[in-house]
Amino acid sequence: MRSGVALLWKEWREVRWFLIAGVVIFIGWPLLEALAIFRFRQSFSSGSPEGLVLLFGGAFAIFVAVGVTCRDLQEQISCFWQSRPVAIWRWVVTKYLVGLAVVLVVLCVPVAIQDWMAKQAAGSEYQVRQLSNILTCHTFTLILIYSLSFVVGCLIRIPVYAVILSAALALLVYFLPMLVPPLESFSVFNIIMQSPVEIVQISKLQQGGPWFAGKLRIVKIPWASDLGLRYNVDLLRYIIVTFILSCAGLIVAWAAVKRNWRLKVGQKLMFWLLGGVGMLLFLTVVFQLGSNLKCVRQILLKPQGEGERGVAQIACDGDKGVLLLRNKKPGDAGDDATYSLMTFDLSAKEPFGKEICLSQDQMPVFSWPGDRGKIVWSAKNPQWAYSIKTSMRKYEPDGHWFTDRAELLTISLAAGSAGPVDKLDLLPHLKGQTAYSDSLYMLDGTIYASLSGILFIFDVGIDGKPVLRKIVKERVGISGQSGGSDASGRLLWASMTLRLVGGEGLSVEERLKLTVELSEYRVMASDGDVVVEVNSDFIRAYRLKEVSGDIATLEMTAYRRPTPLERLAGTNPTHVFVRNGLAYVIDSSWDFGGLTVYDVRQPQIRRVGHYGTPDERFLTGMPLQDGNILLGGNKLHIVKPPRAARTHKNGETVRR
Amino acid sequence: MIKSLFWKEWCEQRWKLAYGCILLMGFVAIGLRSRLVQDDIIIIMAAGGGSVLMALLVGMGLVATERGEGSIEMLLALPVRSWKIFAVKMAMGALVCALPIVGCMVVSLAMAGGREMSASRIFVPYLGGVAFSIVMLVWMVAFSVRQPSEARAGLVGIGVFMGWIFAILLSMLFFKPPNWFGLVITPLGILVITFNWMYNVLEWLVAVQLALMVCLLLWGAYRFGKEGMVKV
Repeated sequence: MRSGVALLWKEWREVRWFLIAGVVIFIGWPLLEALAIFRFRQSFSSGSPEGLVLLFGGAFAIFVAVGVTCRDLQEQISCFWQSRPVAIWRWVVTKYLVGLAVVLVVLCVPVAIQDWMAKQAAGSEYQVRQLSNILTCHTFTLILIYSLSFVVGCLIRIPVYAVILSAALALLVYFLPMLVPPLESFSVFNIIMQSPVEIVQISKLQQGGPWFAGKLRIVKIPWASDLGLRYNVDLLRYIIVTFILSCAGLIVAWAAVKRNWRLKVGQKLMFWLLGGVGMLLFLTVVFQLGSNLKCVRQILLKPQGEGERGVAQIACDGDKGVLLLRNKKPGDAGDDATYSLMTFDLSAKEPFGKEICLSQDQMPVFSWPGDRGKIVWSAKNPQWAYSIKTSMRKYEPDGHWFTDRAELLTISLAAGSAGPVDKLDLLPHLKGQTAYSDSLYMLDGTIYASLSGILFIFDVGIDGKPVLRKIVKERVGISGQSGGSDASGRLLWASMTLRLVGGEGLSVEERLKLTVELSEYRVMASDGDVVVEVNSDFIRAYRLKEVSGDIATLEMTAYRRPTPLERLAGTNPTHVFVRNGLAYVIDSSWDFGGLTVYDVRQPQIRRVGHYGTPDERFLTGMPLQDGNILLGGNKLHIVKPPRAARTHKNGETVRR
Repeated sequence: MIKSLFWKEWCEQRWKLAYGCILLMGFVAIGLRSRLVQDDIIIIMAAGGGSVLMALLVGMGLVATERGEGSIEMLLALPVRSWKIFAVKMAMGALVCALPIVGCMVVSLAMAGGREMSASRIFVPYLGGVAFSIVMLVWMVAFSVRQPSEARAGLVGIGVFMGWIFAILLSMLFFKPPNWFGLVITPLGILVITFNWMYNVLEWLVAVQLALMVCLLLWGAYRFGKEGMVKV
């Protein structure tokens, strides 16, 4: 028997138990699941291979690598092998390749089978794409983890310690690039999420133009250009890096065996190392997502029966104001919520005043998660609040929706009153136009109401009743947006044009503020000549460049994309306000919701503070007179602003 | 003599106690302070993950290290009954498993008591964690008491844990939910029942697990003192 074949035979005899165990776990279990599904639903399928491979694939690679190295590198067996007429490199390479083959067979075959089965089923394009991504990207991660564990096995030679050290390294390989933004493009999870294996035909590329190219971050492959194929540059970079590191690992392993290098480690060191890596990763997560803002005071909302309640909107002036509360009984659907108004005075011993329940025909309509401006209130007329009510109906013959109600309600907040005391019908002024959204804003005692871009301006009399002063039919808000990015998708410049509210006696900043506050379907805010726009993909700051008539042009001055970890946590910004160059963004995500503060004064927007409210939804907020922030969720939180807000005023550093 | 045995075990195991306390209490303190996720998620992660980690860490080094280093013969040659040596080892192991989780409970109560969860709501998951940790230690040591190295003891521990998961999953094929059989028969039920406040099978769970634990302890003590070669 030739020595190469003999080595292969020996390795196979040693490693086949790993193969059997791997097949039982990674193929046997999905098979069992498929049988159970077939028994109950008459369809033979299993969704577990991808999860099993993603969760336990790395652990299996570690066990195989440590298993193939540590046994033969024990003192006596190692001496025996070195006395044989076989070159050490052949022995090490055979070991490496046989182990790697077992890892790849056990971990790739189940996913490939699942991929094949998904392709047979109709309507599973998304799953097929995801499985292809896992198969393409995660396989290289497994090779890297196997190679690193192989080196560790050769250097340490004690199985339990080698497994622990390899586990620490695997944790770093999987999670460190995801947690540290500069290493973003080396994270396997980021690459899987980018759909890298989407093959793009040249014709499609030409149709899509540069935007398409920028979006997919593609690179031309010389040897495949005739086929018209392009691949994601991040995937290529990842493959090259994992390949180089794996080769380097094999060389180090060979050198370690040849020169008998050994790392003398103890149990304590190994466990502290593993714990240290775990804590490092956890602290990196905490640094990016954790809270650092101090809560000065929390005020529980008055309970209303067994249901849950949250603050839908706050209208305040100083320490006083009105809360629009959303009340839900247990088991109610989202649409079944009822609304009520409650006055508050934070300086008083008993902060909450009377609660006024709104009847079905008085309740505001929230048309999207970031919808705002449903009530306005002013400290000048504290006994009155104003609310807007619109409703739509479907016209059955042609299926079109039309507005059948549009009213400005005046609600008395005085003790003993209940419900609105005055209704101002706006429907005749719409003249058949459909109002898909509505919002209110109050500035210096004047109420501005926007109904799908048509602006109504009201003066408020001494008796608190609003009087319609003017209707502006030209649609106000964003009239254009443009931007340019580089090949990696990084935004280089952006500008925005706004049609401003034309108000007599108003400064440009006030007109800008009104326009921004009344804009629909955008989470925006302004302070002076700065406008901040935020959504789940970015936060941008614009500065007013010029105003020509009613048209204002703004240029982007600062920009930030969420980090990979923030994207993974899920961002759902629903409200923003700006004070002294800091943007206070309220996020209503279920698990990672809260208030996040960004410094928008520098071109690179920095995250300077966060206050997490992980168990609360319907979060909204307003700045208070003393500089603190009032947040309304399931309770009221008064939060201290970050240090950056306390040391800066109007963009200048204040000496303390 | 028993006191000396306790002292010996304490000297060997104290770094694990420090390790568990620093890691788990640090995790709880940072997690609750940073309000990364809801308090109950942090508490369940600390109680569940901590109990498995501590049981594995302690179980690996309790008997297998003595066999690996060859000191078991000297230990058994002492003028003390072997079951007493085993009992001292298990008592110290249980203490090292339980104390870090109790520490986490104290940190949680100090930092988040009454914030999102009441004190009793915080107490129960940690109680479940302590109980599970001790039960897992007993299972692991009973099955790995004849293993000649830490690596093998660790693998036995992982195997026992995977076996419970497999038993629960297998029972799901035959029993429709709620699958009380799977919860009562394996120690994982302790975590599931205490974390989810399902007390209707608590008596059964306690009775079954106590009975199993006593049997395993007796079996482990018998095998600990048994003479003969250990297979390598």
